[in-house]
Amino acid sequence: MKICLYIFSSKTAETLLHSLEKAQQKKLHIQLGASEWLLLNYPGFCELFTVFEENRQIPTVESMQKVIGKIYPELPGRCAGAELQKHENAVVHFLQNVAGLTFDNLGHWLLEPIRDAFEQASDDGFTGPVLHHLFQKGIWLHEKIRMESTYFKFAVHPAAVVCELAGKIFGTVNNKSVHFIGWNPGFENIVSELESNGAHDFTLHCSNPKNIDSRVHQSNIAPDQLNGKLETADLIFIGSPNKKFQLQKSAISRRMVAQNNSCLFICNYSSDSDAIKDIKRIYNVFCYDEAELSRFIELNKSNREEIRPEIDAWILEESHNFFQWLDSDERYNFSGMIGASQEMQQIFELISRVARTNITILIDGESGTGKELVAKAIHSLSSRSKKPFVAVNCGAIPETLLESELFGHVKGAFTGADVDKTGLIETATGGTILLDEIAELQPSLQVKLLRFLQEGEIKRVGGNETSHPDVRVLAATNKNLANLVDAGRFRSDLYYRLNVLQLTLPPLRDRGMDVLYIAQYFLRRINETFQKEVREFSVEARQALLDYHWPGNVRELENAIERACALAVGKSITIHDFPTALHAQQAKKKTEFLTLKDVEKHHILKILDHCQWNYEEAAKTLEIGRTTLWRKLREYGVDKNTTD
Amino acid sequence: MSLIIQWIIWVFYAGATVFYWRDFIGAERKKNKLKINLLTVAIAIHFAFFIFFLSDQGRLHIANISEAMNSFVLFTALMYWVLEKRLHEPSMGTFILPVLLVLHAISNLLFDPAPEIAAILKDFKFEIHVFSMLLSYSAFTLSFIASLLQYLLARELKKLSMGVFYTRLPSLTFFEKISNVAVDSGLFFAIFGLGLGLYGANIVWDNLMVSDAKFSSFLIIIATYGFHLISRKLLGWQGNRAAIISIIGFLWILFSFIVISLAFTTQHQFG
Repeated sequence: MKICLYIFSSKTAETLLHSLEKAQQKKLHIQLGASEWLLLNYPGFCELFTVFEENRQIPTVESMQKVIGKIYPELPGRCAGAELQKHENAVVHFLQNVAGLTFDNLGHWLLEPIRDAFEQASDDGFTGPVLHHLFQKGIWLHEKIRMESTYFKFAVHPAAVVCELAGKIFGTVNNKSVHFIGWNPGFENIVSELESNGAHDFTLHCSNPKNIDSRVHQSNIAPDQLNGKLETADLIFIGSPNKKFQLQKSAISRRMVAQNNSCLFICNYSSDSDAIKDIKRIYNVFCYDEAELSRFIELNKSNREEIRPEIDAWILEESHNFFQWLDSDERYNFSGMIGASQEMQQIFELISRVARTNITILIDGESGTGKELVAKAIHSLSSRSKKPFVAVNCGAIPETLLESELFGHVKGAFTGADVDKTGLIETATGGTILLDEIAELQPSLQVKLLRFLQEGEIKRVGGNETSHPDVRVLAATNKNLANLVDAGRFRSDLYYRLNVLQLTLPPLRDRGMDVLYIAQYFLRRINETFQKEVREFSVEARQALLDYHWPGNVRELENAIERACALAVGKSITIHDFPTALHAQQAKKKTEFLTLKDVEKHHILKILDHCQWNYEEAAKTLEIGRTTLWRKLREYGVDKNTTD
Repeated sequence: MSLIIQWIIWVFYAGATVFYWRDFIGAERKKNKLKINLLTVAIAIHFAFFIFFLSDQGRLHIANISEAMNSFVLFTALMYWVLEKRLHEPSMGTFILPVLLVLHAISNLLFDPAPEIAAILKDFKFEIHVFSMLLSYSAFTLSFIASLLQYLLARELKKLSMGVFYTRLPSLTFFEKISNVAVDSGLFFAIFGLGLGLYGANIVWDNLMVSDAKFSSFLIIIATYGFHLISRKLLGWQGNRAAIISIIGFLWILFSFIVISLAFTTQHQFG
């Protein structure tokens, strides 16, 4: 895989590719020849991140501009200063963007636009496992930086700085009254930032109201009337360069009397620095001008820079891990789980997002979908990874024993309790406990578990002392807990406690090509165990794997591959090596009519097999263009790695 | 034995102080539970000692300056502990613990293994009087620390210099609220204790001894914090002004607690 990043310099605030229609984007996708790509593009900013197959040559900036120019003729003239970054540099840049460490030319944080762009690209089918993996790493890094460093605590955006200062003064800006004297374009961001922190009361004093932010109430007053209008103000922003519309000391004194001298925050964004000169000395008034705030931002930036080397080291480490993963042929592997389908990538992304938090997660899905693997992934990506991971199957332990297993018991609590015993919850202290088959938990234990989740305290069976183990709780079930709650078989309060976040794992039959990736993974593993040399699946066997409905999910697939591997003669597994259920279904299917697409896919695969996966030769044999072959392979979800 | 236990308690307080300072000064505010755990252990042992003393001696551990100072340390630490557990904000501990550490050390140094206790000092009303006084001092101490931090933070905010207080402390409002609640509750205990004291003084001294330095000093304390309350409610004094009054009040308490108690040993006696 070749990873490239094309950064188009766009110093003007013009949008480069924003007007591309979906059809044009698809055209661009084919023309680029990239297996995955992400276009981050909005006024003043344009980056194109591409992933090419190993056998593809990386297009130069000029050829890339030409390709884009064909579809969007106005572009080449606008992105004269394009830059190309490759491999590690490109990956580091991408991770920095997703982790929230970069800003565009206009100083906007890239975190949100890149996440939106990624979701859009993902919906449109332009992203694949490589970009998903990188994106997940970026999100995970963002959480790590947020929780383990003070980097994001230093605000570097003017609106964020204002909010930070207001927070230091008032604690919260909730219900604070914000007044603007004259309007400044930067106030829009301040309104948004303050609003997101709970402020709702915004008033603009000006002599000629304009069509500005709808969230701001406009009071049309003459300059000399301002004096009596600020009595309710908690925060005042001066944006008017008009000297007549100046803030008077008497107006502030009047406000201080009216508000019992409670704190007042004033920011002067007008060019007149004398506007606040007299006011500064008033007691309990915190008054700043733009220059002071800029100096403050610089200070925060330098504070961020001090921490940056440590963060850069984390990013480099993740970039290194990424390339290891790319080379390790585990492209669809996420912490031991394999999945390239959209559904699984979304699950992986959610895991990356919540792993480092401490929230309780309910994992549900059919039996054999890998709930325990998800729990282990959450644990291994969290800060608790070095502490124990304990999995308890609540359905496998008799009710009478489960309580003492979970909570422990004291000596003499019941017959046979000869010594004190530590429960599994206490054993998991500092780590994570997975309560599998949680639906099987008896009502009496549900109460006790609820108490632990609410109060964080447990009591051993027969004991009086309570303890407060620090344990993250994950629960898993193959049943619909909401239905059990409705039927009165599961406590609703416990359900809501457990269901802070629900991860629903899709059944294998809905995961498309994942079946083949997982089958390939099992085949490799079983080969090692059995010391066999079975390397591939025949075309029919692959089709059978894809067509079967897998009621037992991954577990059933594993057994099927194990059996097939044991029975296989030679280097490939044929359909006859699979259990009866699989080839019976396939035999039934053969009698039915195939669609044109099935026939075409089957034929392309046959030719590719014949040409030993040489795309050039296969395209020639099929008498179609190489790009058409690519498009068709992508359409049918055919990947060499899974069909070898 | 008692003195050894007191020094052990002191060591725990000292350990907690070190960790509070380490986390406060450190580049990152770590969510290190060690400091609060050490403080919890110190308070638990201290409290156990207080209860044991009560059951063993049949009186509260408040009869002389050493004992009173010791109990004051316990009450203040306990009040702070409850505050931190409720508000999850450890910054005040960084400043309150050194004060307690010094007072606890002085108390240990003044330790008298066999104090002569006048009968009146074992009287329940007298015990409640001293107990209330100590509670009020503890509340005023919390108010002092909150006010001091509020003042220092306000200074940095005015100058917009991003010093250690700006980076480490919560908001001005946070400290102001704590300080105000502490002053109000401290005043309540002080007036209640003073009332009981005056009642007891009538029994012991026949008349009110205004020439008693401790008594006069305490009147100044009540006047100072009373002014804090009135200026807040009637004059609208908030922020730094209220903080300065609280700081002055506490400095006077320290003076009263240490200097007056040690210098005028013949006054405020009930033997």
